[in-house]
Amino acid sequence: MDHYDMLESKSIYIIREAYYRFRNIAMLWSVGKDSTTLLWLIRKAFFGKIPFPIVHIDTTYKFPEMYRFRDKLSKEWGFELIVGRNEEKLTLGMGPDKGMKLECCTELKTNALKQVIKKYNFKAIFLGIRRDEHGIRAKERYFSPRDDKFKWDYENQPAEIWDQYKSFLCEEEHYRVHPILHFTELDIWRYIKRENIPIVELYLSKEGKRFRSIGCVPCCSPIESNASTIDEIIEEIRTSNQSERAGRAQDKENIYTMQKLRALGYM
Amino acid sequence: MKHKKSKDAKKALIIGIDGVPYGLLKELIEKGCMDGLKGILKSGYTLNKMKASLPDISSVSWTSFMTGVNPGEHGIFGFTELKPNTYEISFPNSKDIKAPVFWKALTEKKLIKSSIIINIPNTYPAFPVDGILVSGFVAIDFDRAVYPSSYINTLKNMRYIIDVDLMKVRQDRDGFYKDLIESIKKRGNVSKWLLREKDWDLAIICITETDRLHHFFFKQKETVLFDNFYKEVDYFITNTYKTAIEKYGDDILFLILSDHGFVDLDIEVNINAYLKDAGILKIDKTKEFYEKIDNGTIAFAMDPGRIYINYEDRFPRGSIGINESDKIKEMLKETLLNLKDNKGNRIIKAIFEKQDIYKGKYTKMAPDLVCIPYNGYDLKGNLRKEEIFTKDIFQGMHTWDNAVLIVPEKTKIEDDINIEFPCKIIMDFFS
Repeated sequence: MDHYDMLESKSIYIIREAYYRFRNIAMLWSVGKDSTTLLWLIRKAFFGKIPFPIVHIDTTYKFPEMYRFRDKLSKEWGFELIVGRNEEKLTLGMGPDKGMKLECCTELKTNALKQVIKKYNFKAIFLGIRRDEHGIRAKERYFSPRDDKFKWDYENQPAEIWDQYKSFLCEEEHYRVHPILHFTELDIWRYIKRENIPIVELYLSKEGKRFRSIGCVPCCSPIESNASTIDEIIEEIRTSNQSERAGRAQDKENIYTMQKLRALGYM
Repeated sequence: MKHKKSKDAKKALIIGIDGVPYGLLKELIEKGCMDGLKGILKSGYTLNKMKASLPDISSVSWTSFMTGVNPGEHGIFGFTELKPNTYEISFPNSKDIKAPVFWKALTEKKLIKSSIIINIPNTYPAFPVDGILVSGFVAIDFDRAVYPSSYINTLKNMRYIIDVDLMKVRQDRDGFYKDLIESIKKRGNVSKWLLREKDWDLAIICITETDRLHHFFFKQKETVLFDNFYKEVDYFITNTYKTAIEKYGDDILFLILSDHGFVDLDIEVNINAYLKDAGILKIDKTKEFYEKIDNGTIAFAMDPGRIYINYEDRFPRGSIGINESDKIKEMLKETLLNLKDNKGNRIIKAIFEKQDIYKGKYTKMAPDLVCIPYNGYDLKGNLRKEEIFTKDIFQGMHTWDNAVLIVPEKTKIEDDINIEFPCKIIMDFFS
């Protein structure tokens, strides 16, 4: 088996195991490259038919290209799409630049997801996070329990010894399942290339710029790049020493810090 | 000091009043807005003028207070910093403080056991302490702002807030003002509860609402708006002090200090726009933040008046060799001192070179020059604004040379004290 077959079969094993344990399961799809890869793997795991709903949390601030891609793919692949929005906060004008409380991500992403989980009573959620993308994610497990307040107590997780993934849980909790935790950014791109997985065009260079990571329009900025094909992206990442999320004003804390400093006239 | 009981009984209470200038505090006391504090002063304390850190930014100044050393030793030079050898912006926090805080030293020497540390700027994320620490500005996530975490729910239930919503002032000034008052009250309640219920040897409690008031309302300092606000501050101070002495007696060490002063802000001066016009700074508009700094740049500014020479061995697009250093510094000083407003008034009062104001192994991280403006001209280091002079909603600006220090009257005060000095008083007291 080559490297990508191994990555793939490990993911598919986790996907099937999770589906077997929790019938009331869904997948969180950001429309980005990682969760689209996960969606592809799920489709493979169940021979082309995705047997559970796919949840897209819509902050309403996503790129138009992302909405188009979402609707096109859900039609082509024929899965059940649940769009979750925190309508109440959106009505009140919550947004990154609206000068409301500095809680945009919390309200429009986290709380919107909470609402969906509650409404549909999901017991587990698939997420396309990767161990290498962010410092805090290095502590993640394939099966990661959350309590009813969404708290992740990473110092008190059941041990995952060898392949004995812990996939039973108590009432009022839900599991986060991370089938592509072991992929690196480069693995993702090489796998996308090998499998010819569709991706949002924002990742490809246009006029010398492309997005390495996508999310909400106000909080993402493109990187300088001429990589307009998957091969060129692979070469760029292979030789780059810049962090993947550097183009995202992100690191939520940095955004909030910046907003607070600006509110006092700094920066 | 001779009336101290046993060594174990030594207690110190320090109150921080962020951004309160010496002159204003004196006037408010004389005016009768702070009778509680007036009484405390009469009972044996003196009100002194003190210098802030350079630059006179809360995170820098409070870190100098907490460590008793200058930025060259503690490594904090502002709310923003560039990552080494890049133009990538970063936001220094408590993890970046390179010198130990004094309560750590006191705990290690077994001179104190338990501390209560509330709301000092630049203590986020909260770090371990024997006792409790609640972070101040810029604390983002409540859960990471409290140590130990067992206090998180208690504080949330007490409706403690880390900071008011600073954006609100743009839409609702009255509401914002009320929030500030409410926030002081909550801080007062939580402090009182902790001081009463917990055993402590050292308590440091800061209010930052004063600084917020001054940023947005300073030109109303002679109105009832300030009088009422400072009555609330007076109540906070008096009540906190009383709670401490009711518990431990009046031979505790009691200090009050601010981290910088304030004056009226007339206009914001965007130094980078000036440097750009003078051909000293080249901008690439397609980039973000300090990545905008382009080839051919000689120097650039960061908030508030920090000037960095674009040395080739320090920055990716640096072009200045170290051998040109003296010549460039002279040129920059001359250019900056020549900056005038449209009435022909000079803007920059003094320029310091880093080796003259900083000592210690982190001096190499320091800005090459630090500018101090005349009152009214608030120096800004953003790269966004193209106009040199701009005006926003801010009414007050920080000052370097008129912070406040209230100490027991027996304390020996030198002529020219700065914010590193209170740490010495505290260390001497416990030793």
